[in-house]
Amino acid sequence: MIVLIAVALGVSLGLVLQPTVPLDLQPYLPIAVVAALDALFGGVRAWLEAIFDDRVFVVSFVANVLVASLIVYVGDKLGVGGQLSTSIVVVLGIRIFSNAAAIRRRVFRA
Amino acid sequence: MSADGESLHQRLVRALFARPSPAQLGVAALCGLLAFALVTQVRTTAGSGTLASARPDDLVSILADLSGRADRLRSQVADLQRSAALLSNGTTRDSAALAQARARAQTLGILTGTLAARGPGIVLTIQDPSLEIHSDVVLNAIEELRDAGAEAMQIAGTGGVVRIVTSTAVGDLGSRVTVDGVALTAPLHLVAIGDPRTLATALGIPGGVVDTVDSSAGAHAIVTTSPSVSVTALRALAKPRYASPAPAPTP
Amino acid sequence: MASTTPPQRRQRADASMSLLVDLSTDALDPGYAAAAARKRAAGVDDRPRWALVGATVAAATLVIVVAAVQTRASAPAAAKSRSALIAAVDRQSATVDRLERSIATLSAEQAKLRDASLASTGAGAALARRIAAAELALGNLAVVGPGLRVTLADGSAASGNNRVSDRQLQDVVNALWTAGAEAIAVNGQRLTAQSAIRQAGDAVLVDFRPQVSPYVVTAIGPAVDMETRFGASRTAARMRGTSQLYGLRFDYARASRLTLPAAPDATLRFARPATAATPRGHS
Repeated sequence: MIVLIAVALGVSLGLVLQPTVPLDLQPYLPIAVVAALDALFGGVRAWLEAIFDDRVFVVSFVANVLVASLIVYVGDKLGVGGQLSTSIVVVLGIRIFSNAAAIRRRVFRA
Repeated sequence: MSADGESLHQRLVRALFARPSPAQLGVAALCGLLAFALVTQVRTTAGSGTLASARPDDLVSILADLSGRADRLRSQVADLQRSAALLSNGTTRDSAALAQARARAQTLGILTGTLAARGPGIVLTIQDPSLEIHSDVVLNAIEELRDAGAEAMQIAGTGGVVRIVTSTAVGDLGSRVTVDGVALTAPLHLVAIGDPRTLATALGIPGGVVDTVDSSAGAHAIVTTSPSVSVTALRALAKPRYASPAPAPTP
Repeated sequence: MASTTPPQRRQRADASMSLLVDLSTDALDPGYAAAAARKRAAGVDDRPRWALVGATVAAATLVIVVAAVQTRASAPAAAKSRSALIAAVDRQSATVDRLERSIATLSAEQAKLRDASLASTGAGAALARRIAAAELALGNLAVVGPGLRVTLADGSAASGNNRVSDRQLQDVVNALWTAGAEAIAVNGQRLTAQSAIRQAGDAVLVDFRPQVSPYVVTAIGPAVDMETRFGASRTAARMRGTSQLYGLRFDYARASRLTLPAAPDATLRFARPATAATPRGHS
């Protein structure tokens, strides 16, 4: 229940405050989004499989976002920022999809 | 072979001609939807094929160009609607017609080079002591300026000054550039009337005219904007001998 | 569902797939399984601290929403999405077409009224003749006559240089004027003193209208003369070389009757007639 409230809170805060992201951080925003989605999907799947652990969830979210941003940052310095960004999206996308498929199997038994 | 020993052929025949079960209808509907989406996507991609591979920067500038053109056209439409009112009124018709005709004659005169023109614009000066600049640079400059909306242009150098019009052609004679047959030597001065900022930007784009000239040994290009430049070189009106007005269907 | 068993020696055959396989099998953070095993072993049944989870979820949602808002906000300014840009270009092109059509109809109607009025006076008739002559020279009148038809087309090979560029089209048009052309159109777009040929991606824009390969350049003039002079020009030689090297199509043929449409009328926004004039040839 509190999770649903939290989602509603996050959505409304985002829409009301409409923060403008500083130009320097803008390239990292898509990465952060994908990393956040990955952590969320992982959390939902873990909860459905009754192995949810709050510390793992928080750590996975924070670590995902930080590590992904760090990789893109280093990639920018090396000149392969765009490509690393793409690869991160691909990898996290595969994970999201796998988790979503497992969630689907659990929920719909199909 | 299937479980009960049917051959593939028999299974195929059975599948093709049996009555569909509801599940099969569902699958069929989904396949139909997929086919529809695929065809639509292919047609969309084909339809936008002309610009599909353009870089976003190009697209943005094309969009800006088109928007500017749309604005110019809209003001033209407004002008035309005003003059339509004058022309349809019987008392003002003759004087309005004469006034419009004179204005149109002036516009055409400027565009065809039979009238001198004055207005805001730029002057492109090319210094070329080692005679490295050839006709391709001049042609590129003329095209860029046209693209940026230049309304009247002339090019001057040692050897003469030539008004640039529809049929202007550039060439090379030895190490000199010829414009409509007149051989010009550097320093060349290209005067163009139009929006000074747009014209100057068009010449100054990376890899554009100024860059090309500056990268040639010894040559140097300067663009000066001015609120008033004059294009005073004139040319006689071309009298086409092979092109005649087409009989007029509606366009 | 996480499988953390190391790959068997026997599965060397698909060892190269291990990255993708691991990605899918380890999709769920192994930390969850480890934590669950640990809690089972210790016999503890910790309820999750929902406040902490809630805060994290709110943060995650906030990030996602901020990204979405950001993208929407910057969309009009820079239009990152290519398809949005292309759609905008198509829309503006349609608007431009529509405006040009209404200008054409309005102009035609007024031209009729104007011509009728001008024809009724001597001065008016003379003015009308001058205007018609100027329109013919400029390109605002549809014309018909013999001439040359030059066709350029992109090569079918996938190599980089086999696309017709704007410079090549400009060169061909320039060479045709030099060879004696009196009126030129590219893919049906009549060229005037203000027509520009410019490239964007695969398309070449003639007078801001995107054109695709093949590009047909029609020029009215003395057919035989133009064919000879154009064929002997450096531009034609260069194009023949480029055509052989990169597979572009380049050919030209005489035509006995070409019809070139009129270019839409233009108005001047910056240039005004000057009072003093210098005859041609003075510098």
